[in-house]
Amino acid sequence: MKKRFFMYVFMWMTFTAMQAWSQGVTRAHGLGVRGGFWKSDARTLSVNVSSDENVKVDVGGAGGCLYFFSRISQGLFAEGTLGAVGNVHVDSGSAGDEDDVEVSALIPLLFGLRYDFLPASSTSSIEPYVGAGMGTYWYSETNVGGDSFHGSVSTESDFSTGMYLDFGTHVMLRSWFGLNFDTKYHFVNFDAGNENSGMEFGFGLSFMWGRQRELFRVRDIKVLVNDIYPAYYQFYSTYPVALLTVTNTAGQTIEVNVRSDIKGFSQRDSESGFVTIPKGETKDIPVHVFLGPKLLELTSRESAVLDLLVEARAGVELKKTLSANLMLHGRNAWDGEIKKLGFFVTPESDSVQSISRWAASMVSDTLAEHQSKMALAERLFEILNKKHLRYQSDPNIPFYQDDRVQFADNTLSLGTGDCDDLVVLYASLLESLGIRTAFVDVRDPEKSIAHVYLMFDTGLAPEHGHLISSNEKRYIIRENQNRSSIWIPVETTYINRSFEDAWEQGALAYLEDGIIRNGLAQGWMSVVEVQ
Amino acid sequence: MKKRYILFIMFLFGAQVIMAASSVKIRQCHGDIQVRQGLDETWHVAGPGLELRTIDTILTGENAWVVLELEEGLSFKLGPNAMLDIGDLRKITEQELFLYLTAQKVGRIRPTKEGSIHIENVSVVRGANQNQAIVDRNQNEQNARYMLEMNGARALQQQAYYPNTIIKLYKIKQKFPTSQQPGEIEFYLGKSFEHVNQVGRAIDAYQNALVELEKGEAASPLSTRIRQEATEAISRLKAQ
Repeated sequence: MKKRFFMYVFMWMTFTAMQAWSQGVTRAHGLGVRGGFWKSDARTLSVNVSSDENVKVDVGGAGGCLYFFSRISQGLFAEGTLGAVGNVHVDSGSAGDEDDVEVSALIPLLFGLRYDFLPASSTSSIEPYVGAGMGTYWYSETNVGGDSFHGSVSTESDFSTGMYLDFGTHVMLRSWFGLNFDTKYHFVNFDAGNENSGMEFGFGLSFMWGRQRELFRVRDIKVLVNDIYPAYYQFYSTYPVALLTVTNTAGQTIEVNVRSDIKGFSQRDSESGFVTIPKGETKDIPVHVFLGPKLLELTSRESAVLDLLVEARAGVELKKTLSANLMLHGRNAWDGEIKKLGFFVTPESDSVQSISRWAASMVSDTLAEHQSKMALAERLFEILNKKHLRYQSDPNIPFYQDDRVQFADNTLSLGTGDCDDLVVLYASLLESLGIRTAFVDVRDPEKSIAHVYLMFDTGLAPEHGHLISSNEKRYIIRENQNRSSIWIPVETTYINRSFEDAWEQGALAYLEDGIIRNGLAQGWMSVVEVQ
Repeated sequence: MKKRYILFIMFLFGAQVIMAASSVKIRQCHGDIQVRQGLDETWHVAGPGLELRTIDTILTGENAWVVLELEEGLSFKLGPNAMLDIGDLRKITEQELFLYLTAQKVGRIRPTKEGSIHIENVSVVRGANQNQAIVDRNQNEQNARYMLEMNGARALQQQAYYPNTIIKLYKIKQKFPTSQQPGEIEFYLGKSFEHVNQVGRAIDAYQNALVELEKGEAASPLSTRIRQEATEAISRLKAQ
């Protein structure tokens, strides 16, 4: 009783361990050896000893085989088997009688198909299958007869074709190794009534190699953002840096999640969330990164690695790691895209706030909205003018094509800046007082260098433009979200002149380039609001 | 993406755009003629022989007129009570007009969430100051300015500067979003579009004129004429 109990515990533990070891994902190819018993009319297993010393022994049906299988598609395998089944019949008569010994062997060489019918997602270590095939059965029989004085030996062989049907199971102990239980019914000569036809029971060991059955395949990693600019690090949390093209090869719906990070610079891993990919379909999964302010400490560019971990689940889980190279630029680098210049605008910085509050204190709070905004813009410009800021081109950095933009703090402390630096400074100051700003980007095809200046929103409706100026060429009517208002262009490189001069220059440039030379319609001039 | 594509096409077309008229001179004039140079706020009396730049503006008074001498021996007559930017007289090809109209349309396309880099974190921003002086709404001055500009646009149309008229009318629409004379700008837009064989746009403009008239106040002789002519034009154009 106790023995049986321990046996049951042992069996249960073995089964549980098998479940844990094996992931139920068979590999592509396998080779195995199986021992078994072939039960047929021609093979019996019996020993008879009669009382008159006549002994009859029949030992038959024991045999073995070597088998090989290789995956054709998801659950379908091609299979080949070479076996041998022996049979010994001894009929020893009483003294004086003839003895008769028959030794026969049946050697089947079979080819067929096997189908593992549990899906790839199955976590079971038991992988049942069914199969069918056909091949040749070579039968050879050697007969030794006679008594002590006379003997005869005869050999005969036969060559037949036939087929089999089978079912069985693999019990996977590792992804490369498993036990095999197999039951085949052989139809020798395609005849169930043939004396060699019958059921074969086998037990064996299978060794497997090659690729495991895949749940998914990563077809492509398309890096959308090769260059990371620290100034707009927050942008990358909403804009994908890469696109991963994943194909579901599992034969059923799977869910795929992509984790990504840039070591040393990500605040934490970013996850795409589990994306459902139906059977056989391909999907592009966007990859984001959560970059942290540490990126803003970069003073020069350096390369980095984007690490990706692709997790797929469909019952089982499968993970793959991938990586891609990226370039991290210095904190002041700008790719020249005017939309992103706004990321350099820092209205909340302390030095900006202190100047803007000072300017605000000089403006009466009883003015109309547009008068107040005009006055504030003028005071801010005057303050900058008094700081004796100067125009200074960007430094030439060998083998470096990107533009360089200073944050407002840098420009204030350095006292110099080029057009984009001054625009960022002035926009930061205006935005800190709640005045909306826009950049005017000019990429004049007739000039070798691009330019940017600024305009700000007075909040005044177009029909009241005469309150700003009797000459409507001095201002711009801009429509935004179904509301039109008057904007004032300012040439910020005129920082060492008066606000009036900077305004006039801005208006003149806008009129000549945007309207008369049609730069706005032709697309080489654009206005982008700071958001 | 769509916006970028349109801008690219516009850039390709842009290469063929004829540049602004380089020299304009006053040939003849009568009555009160004034010129405003560039971004100046003041008007100066003008007379025959005065050269004007593309950034200048000309204004005619009551019973006044001026004949401008353009390039290649062409001339342009501006009647009384009219205001015209010299830049409005530049040669505008159909392609340039197409670019302009497309740019107007592109400008109105709201950025999609996909292409936008705006990171929203609040549903609404509050901070309006209610303690501010109300701006002056001088309606008479507005009407006078509107009339001057519309007369300038009519002069362009009468002398077959149809693409220029269209651009001028769009600018007037922008400056005076609340229409002084309901349906008038749209009606003239319809006429100009008809002349440049933009039938679809012409029908749209005439229909807009009728819609504006419906919303407008009491009928005037002008609104009656606009309603009648716009209705006829729509039927005529649809029958084509």
